[in-house]
Amino acid sequence: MDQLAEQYTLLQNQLDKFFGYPSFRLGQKEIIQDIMEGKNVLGILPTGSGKSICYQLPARLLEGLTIVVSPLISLMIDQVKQLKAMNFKQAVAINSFMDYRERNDVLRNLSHYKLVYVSPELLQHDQIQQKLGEVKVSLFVIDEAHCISQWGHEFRPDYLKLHEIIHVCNYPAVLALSATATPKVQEDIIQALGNQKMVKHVYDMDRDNIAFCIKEVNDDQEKNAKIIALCKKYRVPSLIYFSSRQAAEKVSQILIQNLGYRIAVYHGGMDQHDRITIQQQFMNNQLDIVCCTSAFGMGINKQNIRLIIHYHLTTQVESYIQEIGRAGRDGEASVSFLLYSKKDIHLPKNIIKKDLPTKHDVMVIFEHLYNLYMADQPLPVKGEAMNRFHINEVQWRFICYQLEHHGIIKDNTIFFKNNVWLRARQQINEYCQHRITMKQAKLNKFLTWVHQKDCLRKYLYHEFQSGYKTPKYQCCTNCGFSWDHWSPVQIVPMEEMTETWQDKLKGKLLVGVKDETE
Amino acid sequence: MILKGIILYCVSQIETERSVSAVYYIITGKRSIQTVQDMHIYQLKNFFGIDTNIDKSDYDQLIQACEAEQLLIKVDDEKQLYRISRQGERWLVKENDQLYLNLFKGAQYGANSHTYFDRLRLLIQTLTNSKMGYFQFIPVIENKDVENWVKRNYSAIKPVTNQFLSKLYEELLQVLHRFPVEVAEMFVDRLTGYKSYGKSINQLAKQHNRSTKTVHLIITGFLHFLIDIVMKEEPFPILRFIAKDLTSSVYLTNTAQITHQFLHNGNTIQEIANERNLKVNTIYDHIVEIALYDSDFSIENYVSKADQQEIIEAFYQTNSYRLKTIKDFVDNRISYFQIRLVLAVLQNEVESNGSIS
Ligand SMILES: Nc1ncnc2c1ncn2[C@@H]1O[C@H](COP(=O)(O)OP(=O)(O)OP(=O)(O)O)[C@@H](O)[C@H]1O
Ligand SMILES: [Mg+2]
Ligand SMILES: [Zn+2]
Repeated sequence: MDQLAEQYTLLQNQLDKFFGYPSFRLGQKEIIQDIMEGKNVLGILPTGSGKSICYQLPARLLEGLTIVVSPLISLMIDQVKQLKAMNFKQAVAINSFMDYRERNDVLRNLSHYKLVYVSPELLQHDQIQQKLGEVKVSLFVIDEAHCISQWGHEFRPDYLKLHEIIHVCNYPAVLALSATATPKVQEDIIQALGNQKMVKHVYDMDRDNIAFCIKEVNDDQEKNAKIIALCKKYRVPSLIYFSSRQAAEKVSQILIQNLGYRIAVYHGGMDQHDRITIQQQFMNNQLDIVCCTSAFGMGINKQNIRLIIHYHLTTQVESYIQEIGRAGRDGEASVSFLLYSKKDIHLPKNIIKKDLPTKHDVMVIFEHLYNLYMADQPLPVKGEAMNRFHINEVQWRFICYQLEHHGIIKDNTIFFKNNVWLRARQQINEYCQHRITMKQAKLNKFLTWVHQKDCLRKYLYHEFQSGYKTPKYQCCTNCGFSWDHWSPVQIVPMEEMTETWQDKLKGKLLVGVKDETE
Repeated sequence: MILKGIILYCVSQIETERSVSAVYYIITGKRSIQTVQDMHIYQLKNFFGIDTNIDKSDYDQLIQACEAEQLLIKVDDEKQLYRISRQGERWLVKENDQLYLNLFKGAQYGANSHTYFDRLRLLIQTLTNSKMGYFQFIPVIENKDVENWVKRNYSAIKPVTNQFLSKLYEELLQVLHRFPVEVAEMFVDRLTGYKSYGKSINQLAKQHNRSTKTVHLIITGFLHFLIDIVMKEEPFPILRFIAKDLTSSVYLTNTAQITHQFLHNGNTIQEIANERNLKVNTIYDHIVEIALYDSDFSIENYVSKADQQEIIEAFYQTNSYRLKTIKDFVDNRISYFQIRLVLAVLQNEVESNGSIS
């Protein structure tokens, strides 16, 4: 056997040993080999293809620490739990839910861990950076790396500082993973990570078992009616995406009344515990439909989701691809159903605007900061600033990043120089304008796609890759999609509603149920 | 709704002797001497600390709502004194069956009851999943102490999992029958088993058409009552075993406990204050707290027998728990601290001898 083949068998054995998978999936082996050789890698693989293994296996094999930057706390916690369940105990998620003491414990014993999940925001803490400088970091992973480009600019400015952390960690191998990254976004990612050389492993991301169905309607009422009719016909595991929490709550109520199915809501306004509950129930097939916002989805790995409905338009193609990527992970025929009305278009537009401060906001903020400076006062804290300037948290975070960038604030002290301030103000305004224009353009692209007369599959992916696979089942509305040709396995309704608590208790405690091992 | 009931009941107990904030502090379990004393005096121990998460502003809104519905009547705006109206009393009677007020035993089990539930839930999840050979489940409880408790006991239970589960089932069946159906249903639905994840508080609320606050309170009350039963009655060995080392009286604050230790070692108040770098007044607070819980604690070092007598007399004459009223009545040399001490002891006696007057 030559060396490469030998190494491959070795890796495969370890995959089996640690995760119980007999073989690698598309791309995994190539990426893992490069990482084990210490190369930087940019991996673009479809949703559900098994990107996590690309760092989880190296984390077990490499000598030092693997850091994974992850955008959602729920995602991190979930992954750590799964790893622990697979007996990988040296994994941990450092997050803001931990109390001070717990976090300190983890940090003090950092070198005992192998895999550490952390948010980009926490990475900014001096204490954490200091610790990272002291231990040996072998691999630095950015999961859902498109966040660098999509969110980095306003939502999560700390994503743009990741290259500093890579420096602090003494330049370990870097692995950036995403399922949705155009060539432009790929460039953004590489740049934000410090412009190091990265080996690209880019795979086609089209999903050949998902059909695309788009339907224009007059208003929300018609949407509700359509959804009710559809779900009556198909009781299958479904997700319905909304652009606001309120809408998700409201429509879920309507559906509950009309369908009597097991329906729940999931959004970022719910507490951690409730979110995990809903997620687990959905995973265990105790729920039929989840009405959710984009907070649900990323990394959710349920095999048999059959139907993804979009009640609202997303703001860009990437989000849409990400969200429909939850469907049909088992390869069975699944459908993405997007509903929109002419009135809907203001929704994504507002969302785009909400992320950035207006010219007026910027003016008010600068004036106020000047007064504070003259009075020798510090920068107001977040809550106070949001109140005073009538801006939201995202906008305030963006402003702070910009002010810092222009040298106007450091920590919470304000520094004044007339010409610096004038220039900064102008540049911030220009930048906001630029961002809005850009996002508008992205939205327009999505809208163009929605109104596409030609094959939807072809145009959905065309910015990401040159071709696409032949669909396994139906293709799209414009290629003659018909609901009649879709016959997914349906959920057999349970008797749960009529069971007494005595019966339920008996069932929950498995009284009279044979052991698996008997 | 249950919170509303509790507030109305509490206000009816304290009448206009305290501001409505006193009730807030009792419900949220504020560990101040004043509050601890209040709950004893007005016999509101059962509601002590039953919901530590209520915002003061939400509470105030609720009071205003009660006022708007004319269930409460404001007596003094500045001092925030309220009393319950006739209508309020009628409301309490009418809704009584929905309020489950008799379930609560806050001062006894308040803080620990949810740990009890956490243990029970994680234990059931662990046993049922391991019975089915499924070890990749995601634990419902993320609390290290609870996890450790389950781990410690798991190996002993594991070989007898089936017997354990059916015995647990029998005990639960038996005890749940003593609760209203709604409460039993909520409890069972909240449990997580094998491939059957328990319902969230939110889901229970929707299902039973209650608010999430109310569901939370119902579960709290349920746990208080459950623990009380299994601790006092024989046939619940498993349910009692889960409560082990949870039910010790824990409501002496840590800092008071330390002071207690110092006193025990013969230190004076001044010495303790110096040593612990605390104000003398703080040490006074601790001593009153200790006097409230420790009926063997002698206060003679701090109040002479004669002064005790004078204070007790004043208390009966004024028929008031108000410190200021009593202070005005007694000789000037007697301090607030001394009055509070005597009231604390008095309270202890009332507790053990039945009702006052
Ligand atoms: N080599 C393999 N063989 C079999 N199953 C695998 C393999 N690699 C990963 N899986 C399984 O595939 C599923 C999806 O993996 P994972 O969550 O890592 O996907 P992902 O690419 O990160 O998706 P997303 O883009 O949605 O985050 C998991 O259940 C995982 O256990
Ligand atoms: Mg993933
Ligand atoms: Zn097509």
